[in-house]
Amino acid sequence: MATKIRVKPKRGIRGILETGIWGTLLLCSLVSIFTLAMVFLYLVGNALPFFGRLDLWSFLSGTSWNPFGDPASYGVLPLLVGTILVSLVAAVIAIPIGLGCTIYLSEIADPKVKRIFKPAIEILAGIPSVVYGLFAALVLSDWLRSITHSSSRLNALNGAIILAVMMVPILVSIAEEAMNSVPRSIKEASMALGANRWETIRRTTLPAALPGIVAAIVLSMGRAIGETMAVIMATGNATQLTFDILSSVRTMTAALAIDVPEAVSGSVQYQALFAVGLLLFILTFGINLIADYLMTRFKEAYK
Amino acid sequence: MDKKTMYIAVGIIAIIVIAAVGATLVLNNNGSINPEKNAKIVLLKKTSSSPTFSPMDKAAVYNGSYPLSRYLYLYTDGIPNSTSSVYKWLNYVLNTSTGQMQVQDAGFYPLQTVDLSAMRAQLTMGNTNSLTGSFKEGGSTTMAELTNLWAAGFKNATGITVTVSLGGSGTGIANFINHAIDVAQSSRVMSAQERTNAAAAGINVTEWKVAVDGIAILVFKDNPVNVLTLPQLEGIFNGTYTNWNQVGGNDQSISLFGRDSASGTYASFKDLVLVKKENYASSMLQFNSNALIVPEVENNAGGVGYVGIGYAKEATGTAAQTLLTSFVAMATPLQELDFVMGNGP
Amino acid sequence: MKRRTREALFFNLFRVCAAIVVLALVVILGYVLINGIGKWSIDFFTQNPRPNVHGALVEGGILGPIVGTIYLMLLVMIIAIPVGVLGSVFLQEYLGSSRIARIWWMVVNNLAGVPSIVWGLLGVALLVYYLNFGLSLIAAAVTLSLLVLPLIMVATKEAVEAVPSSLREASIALGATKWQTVRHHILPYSASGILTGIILSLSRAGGETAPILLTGVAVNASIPGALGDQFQALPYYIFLMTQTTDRTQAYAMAYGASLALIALIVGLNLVAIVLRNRFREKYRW
Repeated sequence: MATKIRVKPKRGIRGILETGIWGTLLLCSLVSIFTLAMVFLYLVGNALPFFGRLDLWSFLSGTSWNPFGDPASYGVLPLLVGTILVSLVAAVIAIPIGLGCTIYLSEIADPKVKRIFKPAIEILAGIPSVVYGLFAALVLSDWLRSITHSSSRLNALNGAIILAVMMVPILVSIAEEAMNSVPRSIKEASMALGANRWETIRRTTLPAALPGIVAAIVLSMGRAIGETMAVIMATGNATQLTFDILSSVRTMTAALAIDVPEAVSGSVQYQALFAVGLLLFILTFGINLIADYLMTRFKEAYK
Repeated sequence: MDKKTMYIAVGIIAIIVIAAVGATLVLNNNGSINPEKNAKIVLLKKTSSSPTFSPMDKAAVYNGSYPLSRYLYLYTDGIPNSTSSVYKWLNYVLNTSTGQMQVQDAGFYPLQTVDLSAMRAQLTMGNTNSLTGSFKEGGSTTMAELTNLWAAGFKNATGITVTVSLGGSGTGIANFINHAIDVAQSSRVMSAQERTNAAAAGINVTEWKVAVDGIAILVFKDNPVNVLTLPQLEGIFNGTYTNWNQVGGNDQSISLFGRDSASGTYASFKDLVLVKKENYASSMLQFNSNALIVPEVENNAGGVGYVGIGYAKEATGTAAQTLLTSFVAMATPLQELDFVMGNGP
Repeated sequence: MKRRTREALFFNLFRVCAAIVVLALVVILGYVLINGIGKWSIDFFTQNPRPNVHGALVEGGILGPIVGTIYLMLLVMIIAIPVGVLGSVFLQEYLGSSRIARIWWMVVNNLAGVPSIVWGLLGVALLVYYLNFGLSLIAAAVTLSLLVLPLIMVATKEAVEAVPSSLREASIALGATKWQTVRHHILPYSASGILTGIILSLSRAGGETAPILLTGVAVNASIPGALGDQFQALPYYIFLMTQTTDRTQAYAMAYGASLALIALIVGLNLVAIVLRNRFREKYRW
């Protein structure tokens, strides 16, 4: 942590230069403050009038999403369920595999393998989402179809699997950091007491690294929930409310990308879409708050 | 130690590449790269006792016997005067040897003589809109490939760049109203509400018909259903019918593939087919381009989708044939086409 | 079950998990490589996309998209890096670890998690319409800069935090001003971490599609000559190629362009590794 050092202000040119430079830096940080304010105000400002026209409950519980329909309906439930379905199934796939990979990397792999693995994970993390979407739409969907014989090859499962692939790198890098931060003394103590490596991991290392691991899970889920391009290309974007992973769904991010560009500024559709955006923001904000809290706990535990 | 890391990084990539080559040779390469022509066009009739028509029948589309005929439009702010680039653009588009020729290449139908004359007459009344130099156009994805041809040919002929962005007719019109683009391309007419908004934004909305389209209904090649009435089509797309055996086919559940709400084709089809003003079934998959609907229908025994005729022709493998026929019919020298396409002398 | 057997069982399970992850990478990269490398040629990189006879934009090459993406990355570099790095440094030095700082960094971390589509919507409302930049390169670049700003700030913060305070204290004790301390002692030692953050952000900016979709990417723009021009971009080109007629050609172009985009990003990451090692060599503590 940075210590705050009080320095007596210098006089003369150097002092002016110094102040000038710090002034510039202050300006730079103000830009960031401004950005957050903008995002929040923008979302809230455009979403709030919607709740004047329509009540919150019917928005949250309405089962039909058709803002440009005739008659129009503004129920966010199909979108919410779509997002949660895809993200949850992605998590179910990504978390075990990611954690297994993490444990392998931090405890089992020998250093030479590690040197190959870590860049591989970084490459996976760097692949743009449109390429993942391309793969999901063109290749993965066909493979899934031949296994599941679903009626539509673009469906929630397709989206979930590709999201899982996108989640794993984030999960692994953060969780691995957490596991590496566990002091060796604890692990050595466990082994000195006769535990073998697996028992040490299971009973000592993992519980110790738990806050960091949960933070990793939560952050990667945040990525999954906020993903736009890959799900648009992979899930088919039907507006139905369904819990069937082999049918097409639309996520909240997809709804924003599809519907907002043609909405007229200030119209009820525009405001409804921003209500969806606000909901999304709140969801990811909540997730990040949880992750933040956990990360602080995990960092403080091992100062 | 650190140089070593870099060499290892390069080595890693090499290994991954080699492993990837090996892996994909082992895995079976699926058919996405070589799509088969697994879709066919359904003939439509207005009622069960009417004659059937195909969107491939030019005359039927022109005279409206084919129920899903529609125009494709451009919208400008006022009628451009003859020095502006928008005038030159419209002049290029509404010309039988350049723009209208390319309409056929893209798979649509050129304007009939009467419509073309009316549009050209409108073009002579220009007195506003003196935009010179390059300008921005945007909107309909149905017209995307047509506009690609027009823009490329126009640039070759006049040197003016028309920058095209997509997003669907609705998005294009919204951008047009907001002054972000100069010309909107749309596969549906502007609604009364949109015209009001445009007027409020100070835009003098001028509509130009530029091509003719017949929305084609595609089904899986082996689907025994070859003909549908309009009421049946309506029942399929509003979710009333969920199985093909309800409209004379096999026991196969219906999978709907359509456009998304920003699309002009979504709106035109809705107006023409869902005449009771109901909504599409919520189980319909929604795509932001016609070209995405085709592979879905091809891969789905129960699939049905609607696309502009330019996309159906490619799907059913009749494109090349039609092009040759139209060449012969128009008796246009191929050299002129070459020049327009930029390959010329 | 014997303890040793159990250990062996689980360890093999974890090895399988790692293998699955590697497999995913190999399969995806493999597909892109195999289907895309065939398209790579001099023409591919030096020609603009051209429509074929039917209008599908599958001929020519990807010059326009590559240049557009590079321009975007350059602009993001110019806009976001000074603001992000300097702003972050300022906040670290002035706010230290006070309560305000903790709240602030919580806020920044949250900004990092905002979905890219929301940034796109903000970009349209603020830059395209309110500030009247229109659909343009600058609108897209600023939107992308806003998107990566939190990433750069967090990376800078982590890098600066890692510098031991003894260095800072020693510098001040010898009479240096705060800025001199930062410039000569803190920044060089945190350079490698900052650089990694910058490169990651640039890769992210170059690969984003949703924000540029709304703020000005075009299908056929010429090479932008001014900030107000529209532009092409690799991610959008890839997206477009999945929804074009003449699928055989289009998909091949999509894979070829994907390979180019991935190569660009991997290349950037390699540059980062090299620079990072250089700085680490030079500034050890």
